Amino acid sequence: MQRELKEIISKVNADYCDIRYEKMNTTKITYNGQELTEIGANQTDGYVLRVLKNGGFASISITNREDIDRAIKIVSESATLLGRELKEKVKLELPTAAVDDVPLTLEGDPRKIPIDEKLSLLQHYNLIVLKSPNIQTTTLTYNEVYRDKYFATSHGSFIHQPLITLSIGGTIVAKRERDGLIQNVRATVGGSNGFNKLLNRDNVFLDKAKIASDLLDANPVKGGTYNLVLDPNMTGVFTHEAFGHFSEADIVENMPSLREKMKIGDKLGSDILNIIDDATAMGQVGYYKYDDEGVALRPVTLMEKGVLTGRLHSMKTSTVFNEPISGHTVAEDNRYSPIVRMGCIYIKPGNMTFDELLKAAGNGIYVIGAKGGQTNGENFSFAAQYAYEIKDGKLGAMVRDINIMGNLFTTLKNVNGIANDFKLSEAGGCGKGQLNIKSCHGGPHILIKDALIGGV
Amino acid sequence: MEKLLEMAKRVADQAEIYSIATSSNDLSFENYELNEIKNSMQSGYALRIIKNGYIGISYTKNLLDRNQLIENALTSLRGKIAAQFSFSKKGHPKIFNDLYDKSIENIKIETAVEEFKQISSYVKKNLKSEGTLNISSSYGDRKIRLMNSNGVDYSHQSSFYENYSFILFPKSYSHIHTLLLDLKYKPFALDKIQEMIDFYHKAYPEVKVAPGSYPTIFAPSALYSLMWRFNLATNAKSLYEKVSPLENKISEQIFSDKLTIIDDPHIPDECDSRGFDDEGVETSKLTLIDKGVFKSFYNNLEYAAKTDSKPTGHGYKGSMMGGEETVSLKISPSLTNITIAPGDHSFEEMIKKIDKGVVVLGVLGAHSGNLLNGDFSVGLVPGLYVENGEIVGRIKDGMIAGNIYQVMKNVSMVENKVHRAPLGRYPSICFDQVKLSVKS
Repeated sequence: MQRELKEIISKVNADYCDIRYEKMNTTKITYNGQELTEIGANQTDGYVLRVLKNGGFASISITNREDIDRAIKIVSESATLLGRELKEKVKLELPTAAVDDVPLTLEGDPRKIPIDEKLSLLQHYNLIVLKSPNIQTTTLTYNEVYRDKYFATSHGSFIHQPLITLSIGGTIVAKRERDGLIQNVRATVGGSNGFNKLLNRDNVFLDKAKIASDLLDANPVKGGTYNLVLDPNMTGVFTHEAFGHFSEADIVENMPSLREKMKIGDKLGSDILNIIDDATAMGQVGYYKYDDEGVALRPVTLMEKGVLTGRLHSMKTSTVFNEPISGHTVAEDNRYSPIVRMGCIYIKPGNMTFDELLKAAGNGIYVIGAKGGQTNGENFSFAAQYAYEIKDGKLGAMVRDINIMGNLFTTLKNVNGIANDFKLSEAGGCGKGQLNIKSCHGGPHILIKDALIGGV
Repeated sequence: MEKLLEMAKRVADQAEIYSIATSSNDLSFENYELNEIKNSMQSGYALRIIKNGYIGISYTKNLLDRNQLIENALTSLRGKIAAQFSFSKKGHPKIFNDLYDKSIENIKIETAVEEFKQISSYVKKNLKSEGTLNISSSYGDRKIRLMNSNGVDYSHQSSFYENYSFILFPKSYSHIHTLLLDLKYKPFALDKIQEMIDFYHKAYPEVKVAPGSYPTIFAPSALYSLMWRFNLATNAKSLYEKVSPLENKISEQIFSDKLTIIDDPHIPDECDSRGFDDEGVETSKLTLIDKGVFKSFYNNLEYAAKTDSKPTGHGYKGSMMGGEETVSLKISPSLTNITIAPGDHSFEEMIKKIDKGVVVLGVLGAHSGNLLNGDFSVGLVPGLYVENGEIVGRIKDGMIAGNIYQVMKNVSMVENKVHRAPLGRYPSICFDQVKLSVKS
């Protein structure tokens, strides 16, 4: 593969170019209720070529090897045009050239496990859920994505990096027969360090089936402003949506009003808020060693005591902001050129206990289990699977239909309490242009004062 | 493909091959400047076989290893998933010869860049409030071919040229946009750009609004948040799983009689029009809601069989969230050409008739919440406030919430024009009372 990629690079007349060849082996098995509806293992592959020429930087993705000469011509023309048109020519902060064959460290190699065994495990969890009271149906999927990436650059890097992302999860739907009310929750187990992570997880599915059933008797929350205590999963989504996307340099690069408000050294959060992106640790779902520009990943402290201290970069944005490269430029698969992404973002634990957080909240809502989030510049939204009222610092009745909206510049300052616990998500998920299944997040329980809930 | 089909027929009772090839050229302009060019040439193949009453599926992106593709489909048979249907028989689907415009192959990127420069200089000159112009421009083509062991061999080719120009409010991706979508390059009319600028000026001031229930116009760009819930409820898969709130409600009045909703895959000059779906079923117009009365679920071959219904021709390799590789997706019921029939008010008249109300142009969090139940609770990005028949600005930090089976019962006005929008073609619709929450 090294020879093939080098040969392609040798055909490109440019200031810099890199090429990624990526094979993906995907095993997917799905149950919808009692029925197995999908099972299979499949392979795809493709090339992504990027070219820097006279200050223009363009990319092309192709499926077929025989299209490579045409692709080189097209992408070179695009780069030339960009170089001619751009007022600010693109400069790349190149890392030291790396030659590496990254080992795959797994506890239980799913490639050696027969598909029948994977099917049995999924079936086991599915049955646990379906036997629970009031469960109408499920959509539970075993998803195994084995990426085998080969990356080469014109400045001498050649990196082979295999990565495997695994999960069993999906939606559990409960139904109240008397009026047809439907409620649903999500349950997922998984990670990037092997098949063993999926074993012996009955409690996750049992607990979530019970929550789905309990939601049938919960009252909808009323729209309004509340003090919120977030569980670690919600803290993770909050951090990802409310702040994380705006630490991605390619997002703020061409938004002058936001860039002005997000300078290194600006105070954006409360004094107790410390935020880090660190996907270097093995065992969490976001793990990788090199990004898709061949840059070695490093931890980045994004916020310290509420002050903006760092940003996530590509080789291009690093020169635009005059800040160091960080190894956060990742493509979801062989159809895409890489974009800046969070690897594993989290809030550092504080020193309060969970009970102290509830007490500090006084009256409010304890929200649990993320159910999607979205950002739109200074505004963000995220939803919870279920929640409990907090009355006089104590947990009360379950409530449902929690959709929260906030403002980046006010909500981060309203983080008034951080617990001393900590948990990372077992599944990634981010829809920035390419549907990413690795972007990890988490943190401790936190308290946010005065957050807006939409109600239903 | 012919060779692959022959090979598959040798090991199975029935076989079907779907192929797709796409090429696209994506340009992005940010903050008035050309930013990026991305080109793409992709292909893919999906195989389905039926053997001894079971179905097996596999996919890949090229045909370098046909044996592996067949082997994968045979392995898939081990799941013993019963095939309750047969692949399509050869028929006479409507052929769309005019959805591919050969001129798409000869567009020069320079043409798109020059057009952008014109729009950029016009906006810079005429925009009086703080704002940023971005444009996403894309053009290319898509070829689909479907073959099966029953003699089906259908092809479809379409081209597209898209220009989505938008002015962003400060510190936000919240924006006012204008869209051009055609089968070939078409110059952008500057009067459309001027309309966008005028609208932006009206929407620019941030206003504080009291919480409560207001007459609320959903613009076409925001209606997908409601239609997403409707699409789920009318999907035969939801019916089969007994999780659709519309189970046993055929012929019932579920929405206002001002609403008629159809899926029409035969609209001329629309790049998504199709004569056959992704499993070779001939497509036709399907009425889902007729003057508020629920008329039909939509299905694919699998769920037509499971719900004992006639196939409606809605089997596609699609998903609500998007993002996955097309060939990797299992064929499922999917609405691709949904249209809400126009009413009899101009958009300007609708605004004029509102004393105090909200116009929703974009939402945050449409994918969150209890979608099956029809609930929505979404952020306004932006939501405009109307007072005395005039747009007075955009609502700061507001959310609207409700349930489509209550909200869509009470429609006061429907716009007399249909616009291309996410998940379909819609007019603006004014609902009588929708709850607005704002930060206190």
